Amino acid sequence: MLKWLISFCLLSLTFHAFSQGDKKQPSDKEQLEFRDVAGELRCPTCTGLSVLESDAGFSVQIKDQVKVLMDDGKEKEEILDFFVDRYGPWILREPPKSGFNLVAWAFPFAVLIIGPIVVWFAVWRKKVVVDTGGLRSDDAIVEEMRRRLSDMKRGDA
Amino acid sequence: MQANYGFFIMLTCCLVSIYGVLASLMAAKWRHRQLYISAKIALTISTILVSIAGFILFDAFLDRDYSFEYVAKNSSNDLPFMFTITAFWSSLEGSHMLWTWLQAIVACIAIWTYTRENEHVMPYVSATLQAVLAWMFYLALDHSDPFAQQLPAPPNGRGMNELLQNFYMAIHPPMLFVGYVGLAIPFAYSLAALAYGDITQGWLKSVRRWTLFSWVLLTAAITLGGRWAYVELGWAGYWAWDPVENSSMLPWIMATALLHSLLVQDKLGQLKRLTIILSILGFFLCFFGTFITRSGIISSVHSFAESPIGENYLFYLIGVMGISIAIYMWRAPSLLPAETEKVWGISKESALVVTQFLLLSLAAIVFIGTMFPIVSEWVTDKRITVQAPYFNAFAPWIGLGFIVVVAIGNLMRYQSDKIPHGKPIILGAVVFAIPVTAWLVIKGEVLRTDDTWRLWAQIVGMYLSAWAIGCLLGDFYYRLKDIRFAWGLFFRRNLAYTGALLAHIGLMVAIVGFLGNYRGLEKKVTLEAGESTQLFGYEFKLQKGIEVKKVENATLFAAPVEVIKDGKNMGVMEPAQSQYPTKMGQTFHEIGIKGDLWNDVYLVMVDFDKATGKSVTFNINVNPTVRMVWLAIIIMCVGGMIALFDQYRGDKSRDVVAGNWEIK
Repeated sequence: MLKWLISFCLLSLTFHAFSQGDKKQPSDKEQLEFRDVAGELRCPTCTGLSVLESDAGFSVQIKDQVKVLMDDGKEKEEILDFFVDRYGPWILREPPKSGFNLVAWAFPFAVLIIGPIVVWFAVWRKKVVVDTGGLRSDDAIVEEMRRRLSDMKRGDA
Repeated sequence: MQANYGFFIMLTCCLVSIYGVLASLMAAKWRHRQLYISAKIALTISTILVSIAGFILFDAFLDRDYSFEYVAKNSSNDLPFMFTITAFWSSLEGSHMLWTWLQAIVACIAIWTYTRENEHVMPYVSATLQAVLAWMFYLALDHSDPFAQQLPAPPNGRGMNELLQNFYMAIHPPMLFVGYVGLAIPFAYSLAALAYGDITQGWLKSVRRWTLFSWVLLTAAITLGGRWAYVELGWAGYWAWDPVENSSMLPWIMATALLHSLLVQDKLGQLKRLTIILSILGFFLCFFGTFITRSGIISSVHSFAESPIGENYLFYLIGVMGISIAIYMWRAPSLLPAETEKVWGISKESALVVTQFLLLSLAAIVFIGTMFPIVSEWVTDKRITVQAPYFNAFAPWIGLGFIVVVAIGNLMRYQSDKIPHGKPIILGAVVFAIPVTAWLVIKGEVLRTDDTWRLWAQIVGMYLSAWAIGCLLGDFYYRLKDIRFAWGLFFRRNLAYTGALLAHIGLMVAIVGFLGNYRGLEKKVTLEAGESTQLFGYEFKLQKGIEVKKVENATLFAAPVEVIKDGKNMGVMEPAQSQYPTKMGQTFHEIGIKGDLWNDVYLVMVDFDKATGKSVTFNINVNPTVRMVWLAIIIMCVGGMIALFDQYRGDKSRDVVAGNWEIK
């Protein structure tokens, strides 16, 4: 199990590069913005991780590029577009909200809205259930035996 | 040589299982007891044989017999004893072998420990289980053969995957497999009930036991997998909504839903069909998850053709679904409707239906998120990614739903729209939650979160979870009070209730633990020997620099770091990079973790100056309430285990009393 995660992490370890800590200390706000952007880009060589969480060589390069673009005064959307132009929508961690991929976004809402309606029609309105005449119930059998016994005692038999 | 024995044993197992399927079906049709007993003996024989095959493989690992191709690929001369054993399931063929082995053992136990009331569905149960086994044996022979030979034997193996040389990876796969194989039993019982024509009287009790058994193991196994990722992979998290994790979560969700639908079936005789559908889905998703992760289909539609095991799995999955749907369509109408009259409306059974809805919605979202990249690539021919942000956009809302349903649903009663002691319990919990939330906020230093939305999400989440725990405890108090605090009597009769109480409290604690993810911190820093840095009130001081150590087969380049919190020395952490003799060109992270219930300090050594060993780069993470999650899941599992010992659930289920065998 977890085979993919493992193999990709191995890969990421192989390509793993030495990177120096930043010389200049960024402010808290810049740091937050950076985390926000880097958290939405996938690590190309891992499964499931963003470039923010990964130290694979590829991710480190992307993070450096994000920093360069931020220093140029680019907004979050512009930075993300920059990467989508190069790698396609695949680089984003969420499906784009356009075209066929809207289905991925509409589906959970559809489930959460249509689901309750289905539940309502399936069970909620069904207050009374078909009477099977107690055909197969233990209670009904016991009841019937009692009735017959008392009939016998009355001497009807 | 021994590899040949292994192969022939598996071949025999496959043939014996095919006999078992046919004999069971004939016995069911002719109601022939001796024929059925022969099918049971067939299953027993294949269980014994597959165990021998399993021991042959174990023995090959212990002997380091590299004439087994599988052993040569996954072991080496330097491997310590424990990992020599666990290397058995460190790759595809061995883990399939282990799964098959466990499936045979569990099937054998299920077949011999039947209750008398079920004896007429048992031939069908046996047929289903042996059919599953026959396919698994066939797969082990033809597509995933652990007994393949490599002659002449190489002097040393290629080595076990280093990331799997970890205690958690030693126990995670077997537990997960036992959970998976356990879910085959409810599936078999469901198909059997459909084939037989109705649900027999002891059916629910057996199905409940097995589902609960699987549920406990799956809960523990999934968590151990997360724990492995946390201590081994070094990205400071335990759950990434990775396709592999998602596909192990789906059967767990189905097992949870199944337990709740069995509850309604037990008390009211309703939801029989839902129970059957859920047990089919639970079983199906075990294999489906394996299929999407093993075949490589998830990374791209085009990689699918490369793996023969994938194709075979696909045929099997289509077969399982096709047969199940056909039997269901054909036979489900013969299930008798329940005879209870007033149901639904506002009542506990409705709350349980809402629970089902939430669980199935979660499953649907996880499923679509996991599968969507394939569908999208197929339709638009462009690759996209679906990762954590997508799931994190929806999961918290469903979690919110769970909190409310757990709190209110547990207070409700069957077939009644009145909540006994509703007002004092709910209002009492509203008050109870205030100091609890305050305690959580102060101890967890929640107010230091930078982002306003995240701050409020945490506070609201904590308050509601605390409120739900308050409601659960309030209900518990009144139930006890109703029988004048006769504790012994209460627990003797209500183990199922007690287990559920603990499991639900565990879930709430887990949600509080998950909320810690909203305030995690990280920092990347390069320290010279003797230098120190600070994060979130912790001070980290690199001592002398790199120390080289030898631990079993690994060479560690460790960087001892002293951690000081508020002037108190917490001790020395040793994040390291490790090197294994079979892969000298690579290093692996050994993570340093220290902490308490409130914060884990998580140190990854990213790199170090190889020339002097005096300058080291670290990723420092402060991960709040990770240990609370582990604790919560232990509580949930303990709850599940307590409920397993309940003697009474299922006694009330009003179902068919079967007729007699024709040939005695």
